[in-house]
Amino acid sequence: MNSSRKQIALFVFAALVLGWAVSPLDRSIATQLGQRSGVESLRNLESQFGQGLSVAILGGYRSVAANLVWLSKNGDWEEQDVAGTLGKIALATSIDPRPELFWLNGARIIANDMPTWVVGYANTDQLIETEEGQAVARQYAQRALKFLEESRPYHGDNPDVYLEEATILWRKTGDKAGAAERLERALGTGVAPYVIYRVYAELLIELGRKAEALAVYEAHYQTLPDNDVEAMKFVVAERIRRLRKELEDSQ
Amino acid sequence: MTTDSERLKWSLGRATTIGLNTFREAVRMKLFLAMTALAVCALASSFLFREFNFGSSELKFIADFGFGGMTVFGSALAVIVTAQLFYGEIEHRTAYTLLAKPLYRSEFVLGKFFGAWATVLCFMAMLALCLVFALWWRETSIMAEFPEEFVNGRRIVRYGDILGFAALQSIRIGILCAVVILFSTYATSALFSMVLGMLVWIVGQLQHVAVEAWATVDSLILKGIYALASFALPNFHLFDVGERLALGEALPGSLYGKLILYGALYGSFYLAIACISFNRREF
Repeated sequence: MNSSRKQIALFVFAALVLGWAVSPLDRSIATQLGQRSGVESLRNLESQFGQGLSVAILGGYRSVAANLVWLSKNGDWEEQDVAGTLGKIALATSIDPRPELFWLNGARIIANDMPTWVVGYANTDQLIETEEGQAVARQYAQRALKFLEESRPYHGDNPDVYLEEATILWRKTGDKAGAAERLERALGTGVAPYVIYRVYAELLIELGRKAEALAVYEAHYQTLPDNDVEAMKFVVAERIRRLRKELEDSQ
Repeated sequence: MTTDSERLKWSLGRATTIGLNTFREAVRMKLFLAMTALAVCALASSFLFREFNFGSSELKFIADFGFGGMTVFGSALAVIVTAQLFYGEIEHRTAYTLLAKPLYRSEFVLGKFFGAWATVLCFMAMLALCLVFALWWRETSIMAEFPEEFVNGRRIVRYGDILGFAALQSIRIGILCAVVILFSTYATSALFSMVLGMLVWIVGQLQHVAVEAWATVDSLILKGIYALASFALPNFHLFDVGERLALGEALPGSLYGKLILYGALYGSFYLAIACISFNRREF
């Protein structure tokens, strides 16, 4: 081996030793930053968009790239391409998981639009009337729920995500108890909008838990401002009055 | 025979002089001006592209654009300018005149490094100030339009963190400059240094993927390649803190400290090797 090659080999060896010595610091920084694995998102990128986009993401143009993917998803959506739409929704959220719109809209597309694409617009009544249709609706509802589950690391304290899950569970799978549990989680975030309290109470009524619903309404009423239209204080007051009457009548 | 007292002492002053000359030469380069103009235009285009923004808030979107410009254009500039400035001296034989004078080769290497790095720092500072101005201007307009969105009239954007991001990217780019200097001490053309520099940038950016893949592949050969990429090159992905900052999170001081230490370790290592390599180079 001539001296130049020996020198290069020594340098590479020294670089490896440095890399090994610095690896605890590397891991510590990555842990502190909460950096996730890039393997999956890069694999998707290379297969679907080529290297140009991945370099853009590596460079930091994340939101721009994610928005472009979301835009291109609209083309697949118009063509009712299930695989293409699913792939691009997953890709957009993988590139930039921060915007809640990608998660909420994505879940709505999966749970509401895709079953109708599968059975055809002319046969949408099958999704309710036939067992096969209901199975299709349930299958896509489960897929949408699984998709929303993936948003937890980024939107774990976002009540809108729980509300979306509850809506899918209630309307698409008929799992009212599951929906109530999701709404409880939404209320647990402490930043839930007024509407979630009302939906939760109405769901409890549907589940036959009227006394609980009354307790929720009464506690909620105490916190409502007088001059906020969204609070719908008069509606809540009316529901409390009717629930009290119903509970009295049933005793 | 030279005695110890007659021997030339290593001088920071000579390295600084070379660095300042390198910096002056670099800021006069058309490439530097073109790259700066391009990066500022890219940042300004975020105001046009905001119509295509579906997810994050407008301010986050503008911040993302600025962060992207700093990393992409800053890294490209670092690779091209460093290779041009260092290898250009050898190619045009001006290095021979310099090295014939009482000057250590390591002084030349360090001077060139600091000159090139200062050029990129200048670029980063300009872009950071443009980003701060763009965000401040837009935030002021939004505050006037929707005052209820700002609790007690407080601004949302953490301007100090944007400057912190620029500082961290400067460290990343410092490592890249040191790597390009190292390749230039071996290279037989500036293009060779640039291509290798670009490769290190991309592989360093993907280094965390190599670490992940290392644990998942079965092939021993692939494991060896991934291990080599994992340990032999710096992990530039660690400097991607823009996502956290755009989410409105503050970076802890300890993180800044660790990243500075990381950059200092790799930067000084590559520069030390570059000095050794350049000392042994025959002209």
